[in-house]
Amino acid sequence: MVTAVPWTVERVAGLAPDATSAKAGRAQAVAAKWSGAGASAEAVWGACQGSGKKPYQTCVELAGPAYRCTCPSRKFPCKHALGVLMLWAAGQVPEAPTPGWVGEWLAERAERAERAEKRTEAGPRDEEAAAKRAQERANRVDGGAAELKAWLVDRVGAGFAGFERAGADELRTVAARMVDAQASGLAGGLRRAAGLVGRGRDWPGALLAELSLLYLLADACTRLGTLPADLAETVRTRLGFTTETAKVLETGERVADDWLICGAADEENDRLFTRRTWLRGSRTGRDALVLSFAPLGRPLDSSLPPGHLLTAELAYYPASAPMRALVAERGIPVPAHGPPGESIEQALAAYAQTLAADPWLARWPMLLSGVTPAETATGWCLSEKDGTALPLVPTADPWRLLAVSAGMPVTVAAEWSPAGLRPLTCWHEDRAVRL
Amino acid sequence: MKAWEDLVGAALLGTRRREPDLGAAPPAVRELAARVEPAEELLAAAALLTGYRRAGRRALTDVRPLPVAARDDRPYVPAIARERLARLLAASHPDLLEEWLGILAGTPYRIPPEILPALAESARTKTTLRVPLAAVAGPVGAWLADRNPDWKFLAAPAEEAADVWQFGSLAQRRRWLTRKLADDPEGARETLLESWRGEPAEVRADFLGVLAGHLRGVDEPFLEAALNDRAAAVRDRAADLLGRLPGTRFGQRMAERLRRLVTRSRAVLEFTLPGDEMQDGLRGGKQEGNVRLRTIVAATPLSFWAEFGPPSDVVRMKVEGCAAGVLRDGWATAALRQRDEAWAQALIGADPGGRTTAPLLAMLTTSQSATIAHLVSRLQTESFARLVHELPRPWSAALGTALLDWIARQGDQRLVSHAAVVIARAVPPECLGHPLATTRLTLEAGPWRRALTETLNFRREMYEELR
Repeated sequence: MVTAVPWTVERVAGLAPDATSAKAGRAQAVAAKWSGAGASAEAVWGACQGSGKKPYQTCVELAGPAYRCTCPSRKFPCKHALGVLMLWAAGQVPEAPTPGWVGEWLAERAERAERAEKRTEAGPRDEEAAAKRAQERANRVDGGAAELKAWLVDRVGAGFAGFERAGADELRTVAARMVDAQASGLAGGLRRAAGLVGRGRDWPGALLAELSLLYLLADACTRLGTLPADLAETVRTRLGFTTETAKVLETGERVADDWLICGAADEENDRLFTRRTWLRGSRTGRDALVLSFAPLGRPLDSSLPPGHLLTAELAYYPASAPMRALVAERGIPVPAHGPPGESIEQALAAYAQTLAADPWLARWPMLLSGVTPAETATGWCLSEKDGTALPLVPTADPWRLLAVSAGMPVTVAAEWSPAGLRPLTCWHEDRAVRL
Repeated sequence: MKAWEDLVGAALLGTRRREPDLGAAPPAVRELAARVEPAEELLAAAALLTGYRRAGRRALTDVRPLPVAARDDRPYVPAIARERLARLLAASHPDLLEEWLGILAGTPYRIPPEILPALAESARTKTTLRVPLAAVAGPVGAWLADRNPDWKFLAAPAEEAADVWQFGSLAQRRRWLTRKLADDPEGARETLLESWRGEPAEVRADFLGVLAGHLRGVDEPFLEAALNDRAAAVRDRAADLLGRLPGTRFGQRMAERLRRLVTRSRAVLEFTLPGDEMQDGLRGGKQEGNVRLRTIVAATPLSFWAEFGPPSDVVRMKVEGCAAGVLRDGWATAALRQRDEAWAQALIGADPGGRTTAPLLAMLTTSQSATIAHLVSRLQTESFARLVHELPRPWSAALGTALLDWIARQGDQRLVSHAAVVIARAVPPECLGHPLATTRLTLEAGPWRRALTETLNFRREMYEELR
């Protein structure tokens, strides 16, 4: 046995920090390039002849996954690590006893992890200083929110006519002040608003919607103490306060279930990559969102492959409509076949209900069953048998979905936003296809 | 929603100029949004109505459903071949991808549909992929072709209507003729003759090209008539095709003409260049004597030269009265048309570095490796490497093996690296088990040898995975 569940090549390709790396990794996945390649239940390794004189020694610990390679590449994982994993996924790496250098590295890693754990346990926490820092920040954010409110009131008093000329710059200037005030949520909303100015015929309406929600947020910030605890948490999160992972694991609501990994959406913002992975509990019906962040050139978390079922316990972040969660305890993902979905009407109703608890909700997971791609006057949509349909976002590339469906109903996991559906995964004839 | 339009209007003008009008808004909104400052009232009401609008979003109803693609019951390609396909797509090797699609066409497998869009996109820019892709894309390919005008080529040519010969495009008519020539040779020839006079010159030349693959003795009168065609391209093609048929009257006429132009005195061939009077069957513009002589030699059966000696002697005779190169070109063309291997070998032997060596070598069906050994001993490595580059494809297995044997013996020199690239791609599948591909590389092996081994192995695996 190599491992209980061998990885698919797609999963390996998903580890690549960018498309170029995936391509380079594929080129390395040639048995002729490797010598001494082997795999155990914990790791995959091999030596690859590169441009240097000595072959590069590459090793991947599967649990993390964690990578080590003697090549000078700053990509992470490098093409050699990807290459040997692809070779392994293709069944071309034999099981072998762990060689010395691999064993040493694995032991080193285990030791380091242990030390790190001890450090967090033993680390004396200066509670008082921390509380002081938190209070300082809260004050700054308060100040920012008050400033934003004043600016909004003044701006709406003057009117947005002619705003398309310099409005975007003005919004970005205010956004920069919100960054100074450590209110990243307010800054992000202003930057989104800046992107709306002058776009499309209905830009004044879209801008007003965005700014009015920011007003609502800034206003809530000044009344934080009077809000119900859960709602206050939602406001804090939307403002940009983060909740410590440890606290979520300690006090967050725990839900154990067999989670369907519905889909993952990657996004780049200011050289920071975000992966949103949507889960749905097959017994509880609960939705969850697991976020993973990575700077440019680093891999995003790939431990949640879409289309798989994962027995796990999640810890939810506190919120009025809990959605974001951490995986507290997990099993091994296994492929999920043809999950049960919902109707468009049900999905819209659930969205409306959640919106009542969190008016700033930007995206909502939908798992629609029995839908077929169809056309409308303005673009592509997903339609039920009776013609009830939701539009796709104009930026979505519909062709993979179209090709898989070929006119037949499929189950689709998608992200819903006011702009439309962004399809993420599609199930057809018991096969999950990432879109 | 009127209440919302009212708010947007007030926001555009500014609340200092126009107070927000919440008259059309639901009472609950009016109540919750009530503020002293009009701008705040507008923003609060807008936030509430945004929630209303988002939560009250209705599904669309006026959609146009798509037709359902025909069923495709072929099983998906094995996972390992699917991964190979992803690599081929990522690495942009159109020739290897083309080969992969060709292999797939001979199997019962289908490509998973989600990969078709990416394949169609690369075939859009690399047009050589279009026909092989359409051949395996199946009903989903045709279905996608109907949805996306950029991918029209994905629709494999459907069963063509009976009147395609009358009304089809040139490509459709060519396909129809090819099939008809194979299925019903007599019928095809009748149909071709019927419409022949009405076809434009370039179509006539094109159809002769189609006929080339199905040539028979009975075509002689037709081709003989085409020698007098108005268009030079048609005349040239007709002469070319007649040259491939044994014992034609055209060949005889050419031989008679040549007899008047060549005499032998001991080991010297003496030529008189043909004058303007020799026009019959070679209507052309004013041709220069040397060119005309070359045309006549190329069209004359090679048996003509038997009385002068065996080919290997004839090609080495001294030539007077015309340029030696002209004569050699004529012979080479004749050897290729008549597929005369003795002559081909003689010509290669007499002038290994000549420009006709590559096509002649590719034509040989026997003794290729001996000929190659001979060439290797006679030519500089550089010249031989260039010859490899010029060899017409497809290669026979014998040719492929001989060239692999040759390159396996080459040291680590850059001169052969280009030939290595050509050999890796051009050897037929039978050669992919060659020791070069299966022997483990030493660490000293140069980059070109590494690449050669990799490509051979890559191709071999391509075939194995789709078995």
